[in-house]
Amino acid sequence: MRANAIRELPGGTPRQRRGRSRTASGLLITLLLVSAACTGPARTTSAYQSKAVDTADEVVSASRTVLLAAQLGDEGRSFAPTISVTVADAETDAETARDAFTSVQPPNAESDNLRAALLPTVQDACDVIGEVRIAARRADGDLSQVAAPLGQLADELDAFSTRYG
Amino acid sequence: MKKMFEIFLGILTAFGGFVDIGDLVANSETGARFGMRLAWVVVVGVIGIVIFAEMAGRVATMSKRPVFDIVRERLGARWAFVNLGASFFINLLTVAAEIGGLALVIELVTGLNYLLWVPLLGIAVWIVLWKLRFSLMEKVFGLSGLTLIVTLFALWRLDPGLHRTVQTVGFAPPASEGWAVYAFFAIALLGAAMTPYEVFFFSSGAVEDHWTPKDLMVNRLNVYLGFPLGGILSLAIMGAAAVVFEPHGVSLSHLSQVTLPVSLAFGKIGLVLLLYGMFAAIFSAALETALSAGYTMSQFFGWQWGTFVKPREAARFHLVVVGSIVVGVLIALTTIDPILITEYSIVLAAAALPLTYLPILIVANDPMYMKDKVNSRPLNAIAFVFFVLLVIVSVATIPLMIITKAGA
Repeated sequence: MRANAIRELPGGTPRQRRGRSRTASGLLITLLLVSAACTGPARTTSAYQSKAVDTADEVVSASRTVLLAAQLGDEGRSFAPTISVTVADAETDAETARDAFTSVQPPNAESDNLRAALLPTVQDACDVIGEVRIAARRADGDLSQVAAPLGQLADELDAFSTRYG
Repeated sequence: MKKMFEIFLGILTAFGGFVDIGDLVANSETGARFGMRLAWVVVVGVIGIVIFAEMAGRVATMSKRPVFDIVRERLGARWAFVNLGASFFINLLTVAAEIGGLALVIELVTGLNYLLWVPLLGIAVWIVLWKLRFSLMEKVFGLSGLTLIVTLFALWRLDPGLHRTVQTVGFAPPASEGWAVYAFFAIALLGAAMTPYEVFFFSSGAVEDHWTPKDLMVNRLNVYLGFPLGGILSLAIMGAAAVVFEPHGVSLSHLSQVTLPVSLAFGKIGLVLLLYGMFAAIFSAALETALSAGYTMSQFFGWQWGTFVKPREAARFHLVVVGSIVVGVLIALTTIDPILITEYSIVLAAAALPLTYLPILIVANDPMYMKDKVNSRPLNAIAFVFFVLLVIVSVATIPLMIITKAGA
């Protein structure tokens, strides 16, 4: 009789309640960890500006990595596959940053201007990095010449980041 | 003379085997982002792992029992099971990170996508574990990892006298970074230096090799000299990234970028040494983490374990080792960036450290196990301070991970 009474407790037995509690805790921890990787929307100008600055920084990083890789390739200080992989990785970073930023809805007209100021430079940088990647994989040589516009583009993005950061 | 040579070899093996994918990623990233402003964490981490590994080796030697056997006894079955679950999960992530890291190194050499290499490297790790004697694989890969010393010479070449490097030494983030991100990367560096699998592996090795109290001095020399030398390598990796990347606003997110400073300093010869050293060090770590998976599970459940018995006598141990390699390969094949897996594994490792550290600290003070080899008072004082630090780190890790979006 007593055993039946325990099984019929509202909410289940203590063991069942502990099990549900552990499951809920596990789900909560998983959600929290996943949320660390999510890109949220930008509801204010400052939030959108922050995302714009992050995008500019990412593309600056990718651009200068490619400039260095191109220099090393031309000077014969690295191997063709290594240079090729380095440039491809940088291209992935630049394009990911660009795509993440273009997917964010500008919250107002001021943010539209920010977007218009940033995106063309970001796109130009992505295009040049793509050309360097193609040249690197073909081992066409003179990567530095192909990558040269990245210097100016990175400086412009740096200036953008400094102004709005 | 033979003994001296063995000690020397042991120190060099510990030196060359110290760095793994976690150290390569964490030190390069922090160097590029913070200069040398987090170098102090590497020093703290090295002191921590020296204390932790020495205690674990001494406990295993005097008690003749490995870490997880003692963890279960001291924490009780329930908490020890939580400890096992956390440690095993992090170990699996680390196996995946190491195999993924190996594949990235091969990709840098061949230009072929790293995913093609993941299954082959998983098989290679298993074959080496199966076929090679433990002491031989430890020495071959540990000593080969010494070629990573090229990063130290590269740093000197890029910054003679280390003037620029030293200028960025500090204890606070730069103006462009916040304290939360600074703290998060500090935790990552600590987790990279104080890897739990190293301790499981080290203490299990003490039992496998039948260490006696006479071997404790060798243990101390290996740990007190070998690990700090490995820490110097970590600082060199950080410094090289600081000199080349930080002034130009380049953030590191790929292993390919880690090779650029050495290429800049020494060209193709330096790059060959670096890639060889990276492969050897990461392969050594992959072997250790796979074995650690077997050790922790077997020691907790009381199964026969170790490479010193015939495989059929330790079938469950070998099954867990193979299983961990398979799971590591599968995780790597999900196309989640191995660098991201590495970052999560080292941060979560730092969070889980107190679970293993505390039982070892308690037993290291218990004369019933340790006889006259208990911790000295000064060592206890430092070890207790570290325990408090690890608890703070453990509590802060998940909130910081969420607040900073894992350091983004």
